Amino acid sequence: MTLLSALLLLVPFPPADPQVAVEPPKAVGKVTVPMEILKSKHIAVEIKVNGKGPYRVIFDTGSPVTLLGNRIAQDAGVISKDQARTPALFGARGMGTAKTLALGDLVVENMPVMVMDHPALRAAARALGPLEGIVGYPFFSRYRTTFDYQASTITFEPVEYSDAAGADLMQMVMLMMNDRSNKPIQKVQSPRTLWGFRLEKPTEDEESGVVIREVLPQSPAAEAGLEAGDRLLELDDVWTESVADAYRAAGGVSPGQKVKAKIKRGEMEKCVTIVPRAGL
Amino acid sequence: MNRSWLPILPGLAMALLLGGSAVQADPPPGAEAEAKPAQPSYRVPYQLTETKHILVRARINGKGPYHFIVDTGAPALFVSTESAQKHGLTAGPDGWAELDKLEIEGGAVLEKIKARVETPFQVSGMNAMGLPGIRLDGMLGYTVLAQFRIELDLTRPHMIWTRLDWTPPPPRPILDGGQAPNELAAMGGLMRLLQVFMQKRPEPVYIQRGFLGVQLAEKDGGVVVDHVLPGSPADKAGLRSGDRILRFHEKDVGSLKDLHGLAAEHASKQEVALEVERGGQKHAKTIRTERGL
Repeated sequence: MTLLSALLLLVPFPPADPQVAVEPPKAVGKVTVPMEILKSKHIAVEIKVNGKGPYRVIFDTGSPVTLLGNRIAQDAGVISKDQARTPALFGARGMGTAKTLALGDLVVENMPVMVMDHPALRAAARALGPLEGIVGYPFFSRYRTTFDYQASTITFEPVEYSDAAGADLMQMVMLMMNDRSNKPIQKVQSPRTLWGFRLEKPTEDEESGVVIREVLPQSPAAEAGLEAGDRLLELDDVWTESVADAYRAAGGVSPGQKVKAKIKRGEMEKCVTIVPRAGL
Repeated sequence: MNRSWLPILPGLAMALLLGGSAVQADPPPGAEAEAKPAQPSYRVPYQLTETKHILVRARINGKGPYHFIVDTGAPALFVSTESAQKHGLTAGPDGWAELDKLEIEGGAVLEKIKARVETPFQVSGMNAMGLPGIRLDGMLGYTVLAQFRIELDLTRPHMIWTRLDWTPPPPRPILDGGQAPNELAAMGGLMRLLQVFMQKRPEPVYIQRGFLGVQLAEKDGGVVVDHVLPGSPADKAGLRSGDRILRFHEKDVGSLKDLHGLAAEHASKQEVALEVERGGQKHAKTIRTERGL
């Protein structure tokens, strides 16, 4: 572990961040903001942090965190001057909180932010002008977010999403480092709907889809005309390459919803509509 | 506990095209056609990884499915070197491969699209650690995403992708022919170093709830059996329509939501212990669950 310890010493860090309560977005209707498509084809938007700015940042659905560079974090009072001066690898200061983060008319309160000078951002900024941070998951998860590259706009509509705090990547990594058992994580799949079929994917089966082994009489599957021996290729637009795929698809369905299923019977492919019911 | 080295893991934030020739992505066929009455719309299923990345599956030239991160922070379609190799996808000397067909789960198809065969350090790092809980094969960036209007709502199981009637201009590398800047190289090095200390986590194991074969309804502040499928485990255990489910593994059931929560909690059990009320009498019923939905 010596190398790792050496690595740890490279980065000074403030004390553990307090757990930040996630505020639901303020009740606003649809808000559309312009997006700038950079020469590099990244999306840039302008934000204000704690009322300061505007700052030009990248809007990134691939980022599980919202990230501010040291300059604007200090400017907006997210970190202190002293903190900003302490040398650190990539200027990494850990997690902090922006009291407000505003994008157009949208204002999110208590936004968890990572403070760091991301090397990719710095490299891009040299070619593309100032890029001071990244807006990621903790922001866009609060909205139904619509990207229109042709119109160069992003539209936001608030949704009630309960898990907007973002990934605590640090905690995940710590847990994994401490867990030497190397056990796989277990994911429970427990759809709320009754369909009335039994699915199988034999290990030697290389063909697309899963096999419907049994269809129970009087069930939604029977009513849709499914038969034992059919292959289920798609359920609610999900490719059912495994039994787990089918359960995942079913997990997104509400009782009484009309669901499209694509099946293969012999050499014929066809689509049927199944209406699953509340049940187990 | 010192967590200070971890800020080098901000996930897949920003992938850059660094050098290589400027790629001219071919316009998608039909994109130049006159305004069509309505552009097709697709329901694109996605999964949210443990690291809060949005994962969409796609088939390349009929093979797959592969797992891609939906990444507005990536300038193009990236396929990891490893995944490309494994499936016989070869890039030209400029690092780009042309795909005949990219089929996105939900039905959207892009033809003759270029893919950057490269493994950004973010992807290799996350894969090596097994952090996302699923193997990543690449990223869907601008050259794919810009051809659609993309609606993302994490409270719904599908994204909506609507085909746009335009040809997005191709991306260009931001540093022509140059090498990766020092900081970027340092970041890649750190990710590789970290991998030495992390063991790869195995793929997740799915536990599927057992099948009872009952249709249920909420009635008078409780849950009632509406219908029992003939031949189902519930039928074999003697459950009947009209039975009121009072308890599930000794926990009170007041609503369908309660019941489904308990079913998930006890998903791995082979038997379900119910207390039901029938004609004013309480009965204990044990149902041997079977596989099924």
